[in-house]
Amino acid sequence: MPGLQNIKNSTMKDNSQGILIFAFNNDKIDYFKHACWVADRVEQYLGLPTTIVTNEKSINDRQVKHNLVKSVPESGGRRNFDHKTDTKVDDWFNAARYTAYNLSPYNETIVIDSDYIVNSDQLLKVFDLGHDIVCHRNAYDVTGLDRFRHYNYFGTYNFPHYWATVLYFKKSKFAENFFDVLTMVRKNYQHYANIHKFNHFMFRNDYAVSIALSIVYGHDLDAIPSIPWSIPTCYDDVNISNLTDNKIELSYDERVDNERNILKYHRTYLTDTDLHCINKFTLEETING
Amino acid sequence: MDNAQVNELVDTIKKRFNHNSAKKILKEKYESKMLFAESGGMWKASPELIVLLSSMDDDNIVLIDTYENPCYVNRQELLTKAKQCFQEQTNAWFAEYQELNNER
Repeated sequence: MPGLQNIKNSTMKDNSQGILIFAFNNDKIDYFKHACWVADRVEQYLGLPTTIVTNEKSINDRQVKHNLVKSVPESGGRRNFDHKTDTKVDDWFNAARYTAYNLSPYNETIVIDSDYIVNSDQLLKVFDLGHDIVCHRNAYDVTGLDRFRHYNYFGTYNFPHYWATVLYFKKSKFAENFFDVLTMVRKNYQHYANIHKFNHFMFRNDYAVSIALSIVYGHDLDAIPSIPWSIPTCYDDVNISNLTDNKIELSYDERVDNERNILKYHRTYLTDTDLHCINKFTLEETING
Repeated sequence: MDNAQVNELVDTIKKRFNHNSAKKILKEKYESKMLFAESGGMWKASPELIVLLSSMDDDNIVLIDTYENPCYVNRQELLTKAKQCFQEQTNAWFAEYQELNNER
C-alpha cells in the first residue's frame, strides 16, 4: 500500500521526545493534511519528530515525511463543522485519544490537536515542567473578546475544565494509570455525563481528560498541575492568514449592536506565538496558500 | 461622497489595526516566555523573584517554585538566569510594543 509505506511500528523507542497528532478525516475536513502541515511546523520550530495517528482512508495514498501510525477512527458523535451553515454535518472522529499512551513511540510525548498551529518554540518548555502528565487549564481569546470564559468549568456542578488540546505525558506508571482511567471514562462516558450533568451525545476529550485527571489525583482538584500559561485560542468565526513564517494575521467581526446587526471589523496579528485555531476552514485556506 | 470614496473609506477602516487586543496578546505571550526551568523547579522571571534572590546572602537557599514545590537552589545561578530571561523578554516585549504603536 504506497501511502502506508512509512508507517512504523508504534512500539519503537528511537526518539525520546516527540509530538503526536490524531488525524482522521471525514467528508468535510481533511484533518490529515492539517496534521502534516502542523508537523512540518513542529520540525521547524521545535526540532522534534511528529507521529500522526491516522488511517488509510485519511492518508489516501499521499506521501509524507512524518512517522505514521495506523489506527482505527472512533466517532465521538456527529456535529456541524461550520458555524455559517447547517450543511456541514459529519462524524467527528475525536474519540481515540485514550490510545495515545500505547501508540506513542516516544518516551515523552506532547499530543496536540491538528488545529494547534505551532508558531514558536514555547512547547519545548512543557518538557521541563517535571510532571508525568499535564495539560492546559486555561485558554485566552486572542481577539480580546474573552469568549472562552465559560470554558473554565463544565457540567451543572461547575467541574474544572482542562484542555486536551495540548497533553503532555511521560512513559511512567502514573501516566499509564491516567490513560487506563481515561479509557474507562471513554467507555463509560454516559455514566460520567450523568454524574456531572453534561450532554453526552458528543464526546469531548476535554471533559474526559478533566474527569480522568480528577480521578488519578484522588479527587483533590487543587492537586492537579497544569501548564503554567494559557492556550492562545481563536473562535470559529475568526479568519487567519499566514503572512510570514511566524506572523499570523487574524481578522474578525465583533457584534456591537444585535438589534441593528452592526458588526465592527477587527484585525490583529500574532508573531512567535502558537495558536489553537478552531476555524478549520480558514486553517484549510491558509494551508492551501 | 461617491461610492468609490465610500469603498476606500471602508477599506481604510478595515485595515485599522486593533491596538488593544494586540497589546493583550503581547502580555500573554511575554508572560509565558518568562517561565524557565532551573534546579528542578519551574520559575517565572519576575521582578519579585529577582529582588528576593538579590536580597539574600546565602549561596544555597530553598525557594518555592511556580508549582508550589520547595526547591533547593543555587542562589546566584538562579538569579543570573532570572535576570537574563527577564531582560531578554522585556526588551523583546518593548521592541514589539514599539512596532505596534507605529502601526496605529
